[in-house]
Order: sequence, then C-alpha cells, then structure tokens
Amino acid sequence: MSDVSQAVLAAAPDLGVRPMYPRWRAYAALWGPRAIGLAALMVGLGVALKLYLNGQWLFGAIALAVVCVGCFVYMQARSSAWCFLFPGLLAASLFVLLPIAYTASLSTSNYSSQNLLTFSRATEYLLTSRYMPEGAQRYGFALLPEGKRYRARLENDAGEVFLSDVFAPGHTGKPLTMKRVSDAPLDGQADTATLIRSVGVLKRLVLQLPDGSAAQMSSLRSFDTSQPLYTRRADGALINQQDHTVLRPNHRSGYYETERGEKVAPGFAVSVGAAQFVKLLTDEGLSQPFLKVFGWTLAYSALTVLLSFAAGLALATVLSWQELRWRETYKLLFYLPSAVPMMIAVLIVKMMFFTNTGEVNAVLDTVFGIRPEWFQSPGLTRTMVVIVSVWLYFPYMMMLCLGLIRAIPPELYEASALAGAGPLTNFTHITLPLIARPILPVLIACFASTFNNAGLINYLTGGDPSYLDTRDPIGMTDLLSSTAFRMAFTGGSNFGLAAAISVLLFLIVAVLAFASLRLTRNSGSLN
Amino acid sequence: MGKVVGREVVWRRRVAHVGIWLALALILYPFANMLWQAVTAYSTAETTTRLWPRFTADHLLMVLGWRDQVDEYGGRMAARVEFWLWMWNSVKVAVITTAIATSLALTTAYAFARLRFTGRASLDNLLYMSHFFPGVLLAVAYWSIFDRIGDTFPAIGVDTHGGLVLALTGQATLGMVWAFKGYFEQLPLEIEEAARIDGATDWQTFRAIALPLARPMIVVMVLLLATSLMYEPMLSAALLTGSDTATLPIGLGRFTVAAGSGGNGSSVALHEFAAAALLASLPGVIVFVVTQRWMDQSVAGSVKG
Repeated sequence: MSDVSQAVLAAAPDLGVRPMYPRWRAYAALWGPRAIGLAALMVGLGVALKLYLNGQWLFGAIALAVVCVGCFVYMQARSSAWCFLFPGLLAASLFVLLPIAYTASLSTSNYSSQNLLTFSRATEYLLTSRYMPEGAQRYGFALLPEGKRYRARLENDAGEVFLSDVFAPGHTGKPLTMKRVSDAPLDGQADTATLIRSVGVLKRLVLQLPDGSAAQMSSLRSFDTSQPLYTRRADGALINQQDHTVLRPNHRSGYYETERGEKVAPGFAVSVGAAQFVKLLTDEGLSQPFLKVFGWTLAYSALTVLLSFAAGLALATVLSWQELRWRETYKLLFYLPSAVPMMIAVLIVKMMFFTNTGEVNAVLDTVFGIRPEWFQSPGLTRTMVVIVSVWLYFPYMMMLCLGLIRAIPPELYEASALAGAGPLTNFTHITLPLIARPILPVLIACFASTFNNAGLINYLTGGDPSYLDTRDPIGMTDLLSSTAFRMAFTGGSNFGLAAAISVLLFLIVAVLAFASLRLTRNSGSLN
Repeated sequence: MGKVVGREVVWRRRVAHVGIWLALALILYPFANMLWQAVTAYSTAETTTRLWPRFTADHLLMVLGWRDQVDEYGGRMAARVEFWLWMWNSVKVAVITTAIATSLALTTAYAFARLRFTGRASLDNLLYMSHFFPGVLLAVAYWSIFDRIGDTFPAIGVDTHGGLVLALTGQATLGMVWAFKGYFEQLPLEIEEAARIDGATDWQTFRAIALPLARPMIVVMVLLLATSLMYEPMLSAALLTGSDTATLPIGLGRFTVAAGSGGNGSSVALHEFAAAALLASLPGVIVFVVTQRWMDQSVAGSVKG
C-alpha cells in the first residue's frame, strides 16, 4: 500500500493525463486508502465480535476469516493483482459461494417451519415456558410512575392490593418486595405504549409477595406466580415439573421427545443425511409429481429455445437480405420491446390471456367462437407458458442471429449468387453451417436460463393448476426452480426439501455451464 | 434504382415485408394495448355504442395517488396501489446495490482484463460459468442466513431492504465484473503500456488511465444494472413479505392477483393495471433509450481514441 502511494507522489506528474496533483490530493492518496483500510478492519472485527457474542460462531468465524484474508492481501505489497481482485472475489465468495455451500448443508437437514430453531434456541424456548401450579395466583398489574422511577402495583381477584418499593427503569437482579396496602390509586399509571417499551425490563422483574410466593410477568397487564415448566438435568434431559415426564432431545427427529416417543414442539434443525434426496425420489406423494415437473421443465426449456431460435433465425435471415427496404427501421422496432422490463411484460401478457376480459379470447371469440380457459386446463396453460416464453425470447435470438450473420463474409454469398443458388440454398449451405458453431454455447446458456426461469412461472401462472395427488404444493406448470421456490416460500416452509432441489439444479447448471465453456473456448469465436 | 429486378424477387420482397409486419404486430401489440388501455376510459353501457372511446388520464392519476382512488362512478380501485412507496423502495434497493456492486467490481474486472496472476485462467473460467447461475436458486440460503443473522443485526434480517441488497449484491457484482472486463479489454493497450514504461504502477494505470477512458461505459452499465435491479422479481419476492417493504415487481404482482387471479379479471382492473404497468416501466424505458444513444457515442469515441 505504501509502495503505491509513494509512487503516486513520485510518478503522477509524469503521466501527462493529470498534469499536476494538488498537495491535498497527494495527502488524500497517501492517507485515504489507509483510513479506509483501518475503518474496514474495525467494522469487520466489530461485526465478527458481535456475531460471536450472540452465539452465531459460524458467521462470526466467517467474518473474522474475511478480515484476516483482507489484511493478508493488502499488507503484502507484492501481490498487487490480488489487491485488485480482492473486492470482487470477496463479494463472489460471500454472497454466492457461501450461500451455495449453505444450501448444500441445508439440503442435508430437516430445516422447515416445524424445525426452524437451532438446538440451543429450542432448549431455551422450552426452559422459559411456564405453567400454573395448583393454588397459583394471578394478579392484575399496573406500573405507577413516581418521578423518573416506578412502583409496581398488583391486585388479585379478591381485591387485595400490593405495592412494591420504587425501582429504577433499568432495574435487574434482586426480587422486589411487595407490601400489602389498603389501596393505591390507578390514575397516572403508565400507558400501554410505555409498558411495551419497557417489556424487556418488566419480564425480568421478580415480585416477592408477603405469602412467600414470587410473581413474574405473564402478559402486558398481568403477573402470576407460575413456575418454569421444565428444569434441566445434568445429562441434558428436561423434567416436566407438572407431570414429571422426562424429555430427551432426539437428534434424529429434531424434537424433544417423551419416553413414549411423543414429540414436543418446537422442533430444531438436525442433520438428516441424504433423507431429503431419498424422499424426493422415492416418496409416493412426491416422486411422481417431481418427475413430471422434471419432464415438463426439460420440455419447456427445449421448446422455448428451439422455437424462439427458429423464429429469430428466420427473421434475422430475412432482415439481413440486402435488397429489403426499411431494414434499419424494422430492426429498431424489433428492439423496442427490450426496453420494457421483462417482469412487467409478463404481467401485461398475463392480463391479455384472462378468460373474460383478455384480448386473446376476444380475438378467438370473434374468429372461432371459442373462449378457452387459459389458466384452468393443464394443456392450455402449458401452451400459454410456451407462447409467452417464445414471445419474450425471440427478439433476443433475432438480434443475436443478426450479429452472427453480419459476421459472415459477403463474398460467400456473392460466389453462391454467381453459381445461381437460391435463397434457400444460401440458408442451408452458408448461413446455417457458419452460424451453428458460435450459436451453440449461446443456446446452451439460453437453455440454462429458461430452465431456471422461476420468475416467469411465478408471475404468469404461479405454477397452477396444481397436481391433486400430492401433499406438497406442486403445480403442472411449475419448473424445478419454481417448485423449490414454492416449497420454501409461497406454498410452505419446507426449506430442507427446497434446498435439496436447489442442489440438484446446481449440478445441472454446472454441467450446462461447463459444456458451454468447452464449446466457447474450443471454437474461440466469442472472446 | 436502375437495376432490373425479376418478378420472383419482387414477390419475395413482398412476402418478406408482410412476414415482418406480422411478426412486428405480434411483438408490439401487447405494449400498444397497454398504452391504449392506460389512457382510455372504462367501457360502460353508454360508451360501447360509440366507435371512438373516450380518452382520460384518470387511471394514471389514480395510480399516482393524485386523484382519490375512487372513480367517478363510485367504484373503488380494484386493488390498493401504493405506487410511490413501491417506486421508492425499488429505487432505494437498486441504487444501493448498484453502488456496492460497482465499487467492488471495478478493480476486479481490471485485474481480469489486464493483470497477470496465478490461477487467472481457472478464475476466468469460473467467472464465465457463474453466468449460468440463477440467483433464485440461492433464495433459500439467503432467507435462512438473514433469518439467523437478523437476530444480531436487525437491519439485514428477513423482510428488510438491507438483506435484499446483500442478496442481490453477489450476482450483480459478478455481472458487473464480466461487463467491465469486456470493456477494459477493448481499451487501446498502447496508452496503458506507455504509462507503464513511464513507471506507473498498476494502481496508477488503472486510476489515471483505464478508469477515465472507461467512464462513459461505466455510467451506461451502472444505469442498466440499476434499472434491471429495480424490477428484480424473485429474490425480492422471497425476502420481502411486508406490505411496506414491497418493491415494484412485488406490488404489481400482488395487484394482478388481487385484481383477478385465475384468469377472471374485470375490465376495470385491466385499465388500472395498464396504467400502473406503464408508469412502473417508465424508468426502465427512459434509461434504455438514453443509454442506447450514449452507447453508440461512447463506442464511437473509444474507437477514435
């Protein structure tokens, strides 16, 4: 770093691009990076420490590792290229590689809405739950401000009133002794907003009543003498104080269980190995629709790519015909729709397919006298999805083909014209063979993007109509990626299963990407 | 043209024109229809008899909230539209993400384009392959990471814009690295080599030469990235659940659902949706048109330089 800034001072005036650096600029160049580096270091360490203190040691360790690698890279003046690379690689590994690894680890767990918590959080939850033993008392609670301090006022069903000593707003620790009083006026008591604000302190308050029992907060305006429901034994088992059953954590099912095997909510996330993948492929209610979704995803992507490529190529061939007038205007008009964001275009077309009000049915009604229900029957919905998808993709394909056709040397066409070849021969013998090599990796990329086009499905059909023979929310127009999305978000919270599908998709995408990479690097036409 | 043209060619030309017009009609019709719906009044019994519909700015004004969301016939809007809130949320997320992604991507892209380092070929391949990777597949991971980190840092928990920004940053950065890399490679190498011969370090060459030369392209890319992020549909749908955090795509999506899911929309909703979609896509369209013009100029400029 010092190397760089000294060189700035020494060599900058010679560059000729910026003739003179003012003095403040030199100082800024010298100290700016150091200040930024120091600030980043402090922030990084702070984040790591705070995460660690909150018990999230994994994320804390990752933050610490980032700080260490950053220090290593920027202290080592020799590895200059890595100073350049670090920010981008950091973003890629933190926000892409790490989530990939995290998804893989989630796919081997039973993480879902029932098993959302970590083991320690679930234990903590159970240990803080309370019950009302025989003879426990309930009290109405009011908080009486007295200057900047407070008194707690309790009143039981019999009308007996108890009042505490004054205590400071941040009071923690010792139990407060309650004294029996004849009455304490309620006017001037703290309102609900104040109670909600100080609920954290009030929850920790222990009020010692004259009869020896201790009351704790149970809701915003009531205290009771309930007891903790569970106590923890040394071996980690929880004893239910009410019926004396013993709960043991079952790290296979992700629940605390009684000796008879009854599960006690909340569950916690545990590793289940390959169970999610096995479930996906063998579970009766799941494997059938899953395989159908897989087939539909393949069919949809292949159809979209092939049809839009065919349409795009045909148009591009026509548009690159030299003798055609207004070619530039046409190209511009074809390019125009790309200005509208894809998501909005999808919604616009969706409205056009509505059964009663859509333009498509208005046309079909006048011409053929039919009003098909585009969103109800599986065949029609799938047709609509393919139509919309081709409609979205073929202008891009056309632009791509136009560029590639322009790169073909015109001499070839001149030679073929001399030989008396027609446009069809030109197309099959010159255009198509010369376009095939460079377009293939692009088509694979397009296939990969349609394959994972959850956005289109989510906004166009939402995956509907649904399969009826499955518990999980799977629809007949769902792609694999939108199935994963629905399982995790819109239709349920089965994150483990969604992660398993995502991992399968990672593998498919990786294979496609690798194939495209090999084709690109071999043909050498792109890049 | 003085050229003699065969009858066959004339016919071919005509067929080609007709084919192109048909394709154009197919592509442009939905957008034309949206424009039309947005500025015409609802068809009621009295107006259907007239040939020419009545034009009105009511739908647009209602979407913008400049007119009460109750129309002249006493009908409410089909669904709640909080256009400015959605727009503000979208712009906020897009601008912050773009700023972070651009600042992280610039130096990295320069290194990929110009500097030598061990493992460059494999990293280059990984960068290429990362383009196949759709961000939506990471939604589950993002959600659970932010759900857990949100306990410690509420600003990047689930249903916050902070979380969404971080989730979008990864893909955005990789995309920008790829785009900038391509542009840095196109810059004339001679100037940079001259600077190096004068003793400039990597950082000086980058800061004083490559960056100013690439500035027009950077501006174009930044604008395009920002507008594409404004309409990011999936990660925002996964991470944003509340009604006051909704961005444009989520708000509009909920509007179509509320206005008639399952294919049974009312014509009222159609006009209002068209107006909302028109206004929502305006930033994207404006940026697109502006950047197309700049792109031509800046490409021409770099060739001259």
